[in-house]
Amino acid sequence: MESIFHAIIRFRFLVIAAVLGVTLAAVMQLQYLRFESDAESMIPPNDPVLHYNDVVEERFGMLDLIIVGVLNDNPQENGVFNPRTLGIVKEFSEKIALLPGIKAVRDEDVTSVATMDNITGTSDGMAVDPFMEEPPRSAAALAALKDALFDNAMFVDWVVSRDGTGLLIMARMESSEGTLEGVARRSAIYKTIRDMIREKEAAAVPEQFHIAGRGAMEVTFSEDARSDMERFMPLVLVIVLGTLYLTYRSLRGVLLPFAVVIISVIWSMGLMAWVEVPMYFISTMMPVTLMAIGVAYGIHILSRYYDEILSQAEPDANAAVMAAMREMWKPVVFTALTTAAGFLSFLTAAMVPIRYYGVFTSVGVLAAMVVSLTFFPAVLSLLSPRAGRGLRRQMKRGGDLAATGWAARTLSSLGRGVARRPLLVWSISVGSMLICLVGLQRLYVDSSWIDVFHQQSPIRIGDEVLREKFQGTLPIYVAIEGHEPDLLKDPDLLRKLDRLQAEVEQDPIVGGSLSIAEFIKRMNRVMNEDRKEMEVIPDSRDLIAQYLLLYSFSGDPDDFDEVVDYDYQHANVSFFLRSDHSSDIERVIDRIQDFVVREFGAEENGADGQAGEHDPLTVQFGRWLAGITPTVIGWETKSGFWIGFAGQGYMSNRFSELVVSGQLTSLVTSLLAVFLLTTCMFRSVVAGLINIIPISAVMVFSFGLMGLLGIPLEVGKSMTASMVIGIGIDYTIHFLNKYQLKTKGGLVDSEQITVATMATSGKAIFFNAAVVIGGFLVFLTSNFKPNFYLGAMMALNMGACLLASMTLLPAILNTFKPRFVYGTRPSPAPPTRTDYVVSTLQEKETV
Amino acid sequence: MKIVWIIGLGVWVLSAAPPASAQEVPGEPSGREIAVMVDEREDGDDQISEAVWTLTNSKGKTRKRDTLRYWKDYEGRDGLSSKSFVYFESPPDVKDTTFLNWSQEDAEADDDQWIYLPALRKVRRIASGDKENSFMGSDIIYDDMADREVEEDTHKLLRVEQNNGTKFYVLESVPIKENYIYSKKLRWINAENLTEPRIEFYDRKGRLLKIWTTEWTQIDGIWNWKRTVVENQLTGHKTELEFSNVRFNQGLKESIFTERSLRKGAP
Repeated sequence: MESIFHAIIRFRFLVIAAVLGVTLAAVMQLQYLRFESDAESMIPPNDPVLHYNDVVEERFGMLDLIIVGVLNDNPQENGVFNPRTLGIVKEFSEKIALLPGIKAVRDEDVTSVATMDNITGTSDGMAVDPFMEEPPRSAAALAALKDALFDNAMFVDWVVSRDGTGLLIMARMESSEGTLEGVARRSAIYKTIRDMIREKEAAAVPEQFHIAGRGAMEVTFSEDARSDMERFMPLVLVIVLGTLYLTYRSLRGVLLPFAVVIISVIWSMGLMAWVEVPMYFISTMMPVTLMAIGVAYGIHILSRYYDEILSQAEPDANAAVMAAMREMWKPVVFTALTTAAGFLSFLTAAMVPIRYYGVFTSVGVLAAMVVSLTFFPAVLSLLSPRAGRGLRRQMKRGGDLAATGWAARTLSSLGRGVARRPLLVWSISVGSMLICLVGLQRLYVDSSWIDVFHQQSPIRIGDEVLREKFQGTLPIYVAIEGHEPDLLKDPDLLRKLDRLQAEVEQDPIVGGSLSIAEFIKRMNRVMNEDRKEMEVIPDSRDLIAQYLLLYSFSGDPDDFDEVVDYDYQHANVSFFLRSDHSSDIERVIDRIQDFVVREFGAEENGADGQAGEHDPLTVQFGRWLAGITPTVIGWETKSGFWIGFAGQGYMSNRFSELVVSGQLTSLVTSLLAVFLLTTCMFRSVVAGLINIIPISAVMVFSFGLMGLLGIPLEVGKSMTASMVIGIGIDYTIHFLNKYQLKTKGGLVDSEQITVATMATSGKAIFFNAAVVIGGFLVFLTSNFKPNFYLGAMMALNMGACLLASMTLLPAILNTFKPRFVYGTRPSPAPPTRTDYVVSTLQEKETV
Repeated sequence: MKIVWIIGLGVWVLSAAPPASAQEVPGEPSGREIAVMVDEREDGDDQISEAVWTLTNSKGKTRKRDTLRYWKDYEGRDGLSSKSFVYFESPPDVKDTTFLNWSQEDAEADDDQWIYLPALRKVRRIASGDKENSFMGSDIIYDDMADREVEEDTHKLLRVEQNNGTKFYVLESVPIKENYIYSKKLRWINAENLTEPRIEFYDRKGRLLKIWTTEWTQIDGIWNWKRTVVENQLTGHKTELEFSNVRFNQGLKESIFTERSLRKGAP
């Protein structure tokens, strides 16, 4: 290995040119980097749940909605029932119908009080009339409109809120068909509507406006992701540069490690562009992550380099660089490998974006390692071997590294404390572990799409308001598939659908539901002089067929598309939920499944429609670990129907199942990888075990604490696990490496070894952790909650890793004195000057 | 430099030339004149026809209905333009359902409609004010069926086309009323017999919404639909109508077109 570094120093200009050349080539690629904002890209493309969802959406012609709420709670104005509010709804409805990308030919194709027809029963028949053509002006006409709306249960909570203070406008958006133009068209819809609202707000109308629905979410998502990127970079620069300056107070100390991370970010992003992998939402975290963790290698090399310079009377540039590289190449290589392994364990995830995030972050980590081992010493050897003036003065005064700089002093005394009171360290560690293990039992999984957005995000506020006031924005579909046409004209089947709706609607989060049964009931009432008691499914199958024919006289051919297919073979029952928390959704699904089993019969042949069957092993393993029951797509019932589940609510459940179980598997994988790598590095299984003990303790601590505090596990938090393992292990590796070197250097007293390690490696570890923590704290400013949680968890966990490797790890080493560190007999090598100084210093103190 | 000015001026003069000259295509009647001729084409005083409706959605699933239709021209008598009576022969679950429509002469007024549902054993009156609604669940809307006055659109003869030795006028009809369901129609009109083998409907966003193609046949000297297909270009939904046993001028009695006859079924 030494000869390699000799060669690097010898051909340093060549090395520098080569690294800069590759970097330039990567910069050229960056322009081709593409952004991908489709939220669906997070679900694996061949996932059975997604596939069935597509089947249902295609069959029933379901399109994504964009929803506008117009609210007015002024009782003086009779809520929304005043000419101005109604006029705004009419104006918006008509304008939205004309937008490109909105599926609307007629005004009626946009749903609102201004466009809908009201079908009412009269003494001699039925009347089909618009609720309003123009906003009514007289009090009587306004009251009549209100009565007409509230008389039809289907419209309440749907186009009008129950309390009469809100009206909804709903429009269907044509599919983007995955093209850039399609995506741009959809975002243009949202932006145009937002402008319409802003115009009204500028005119100071008293109405409040909210936008919700998938289309609005998509646009907000990509806008917020971009603004995150723009804010993160300067922040992380300030933190990294600031910490580096505080560490070394020298220009090279700041610029060199910084150059390493910049180069590694450019390399990995350039590679992404070159192999045409797009930037997903999650990949926007990559540059920040790399900046935070990539400086570590430089910090450790530089730290050893300065220690060498400070401890030599006449330091030589090449010799100092060689000394640093000789000692540091191994921990640098292995800490990079373990960090890369931590990120590579994301390959076990079912989500493509998470996999790519893992792969390209580990590429970046390895790039940082390569640059740190080549470019870094090459440049360093060109500079004159000088440490900061302050450090030199302190070193001269004390003649001791442990007393040089505030960090070294503090850490040395911490080391001394740990070495002298092992029992205290042990009892605190074991005690907190036991408490956290209890918390681990209480940990539960809960995620939510809309909670991805920040509390102050207009989209989240809008969604919350509209969900509260109206029937709910998140659909779950129950598809009832028959095996022959015209089954849906059967009165018994329709009554079952009706009962299903009634039963599930009892759940507080179910705001409403829709099925063909409701239309038949409504028509039966209308055709029987509008008598309320006739709002039931009629007994005659022929009458149902005739009602359906009658509906077709007053609508559009695709009017019933969302509730029944064209030849009345399959029905869809939609439930609209007011909450999108996976725990709530699960409860509703249980209710539906109970009913379906009772009324349609249980599954015919085992777990027929379980998505879990065909999941990758990694997901199955993680699910088994987490005790999650696999998502059921549906099943064949004894009564000859296939009952299937779909909808955004269902997808959301599946999503959290996949992420959490996948991440559990990557936790185990990365722990295993780290164990194997450290076993190789220290050539000892015991060393591997000792390495993963502190990191496992941190895992138990962080997830146990979440359980104790009742914080649910979700996507962002679950992703931290293998990252913490991959990055946090670095501290134990560096610590152990130094500790081992110290014993090989001849020290035998565990307190001396601990203090000496803390004063040197401990200092580097401390600054390393400070940069990482600071870097991840940047995510606290994110527009997205999962990023916020991820940042907070990472910062907390890295702090815990730092603490564990400086307390628990030395306690283990000092207590058990493992053979791979202490050896069977004392090493013959003479002590270095530093060790000698430290040990003499301690001897003085103990006297 | 001068030449650029001259060309620019020429382009400006040409593009600013008034398009609405008396003759849109030299030597041919004006668009309006053609529209009037089509409007005045002989269509009989009354008519009996059988029709098979095949409605197909974008997924290829179909609904099929057999109907028998009686139609009588009122030419403005009692303020009506026409009356029609439709009897459903199949599918079996809607057999004997009958439907009566009195079409108002005044385009703004609501038609009078009644339906008899045999399973309900009741005649029900349907008051529907919406002309944009589908006609029997097809791609044809009530407004397409109504007699549209020539004055409701501006007509322009775009060009004359020759196809297999037959001459066709291509007429563009743009509604005068704002916010009408169509932004324009392109009509191919057979110059000899004034039948319309093809009509293209454009929606309010200017997209081609539906294409209506018709095969015509002459019965008792009157040109009539033999087979007509309407394809919605946006939804992929399709309506096919096959006519048979078409008879004109049968001297249909007024009593056929009454509420009372709805219960009795086909006369």
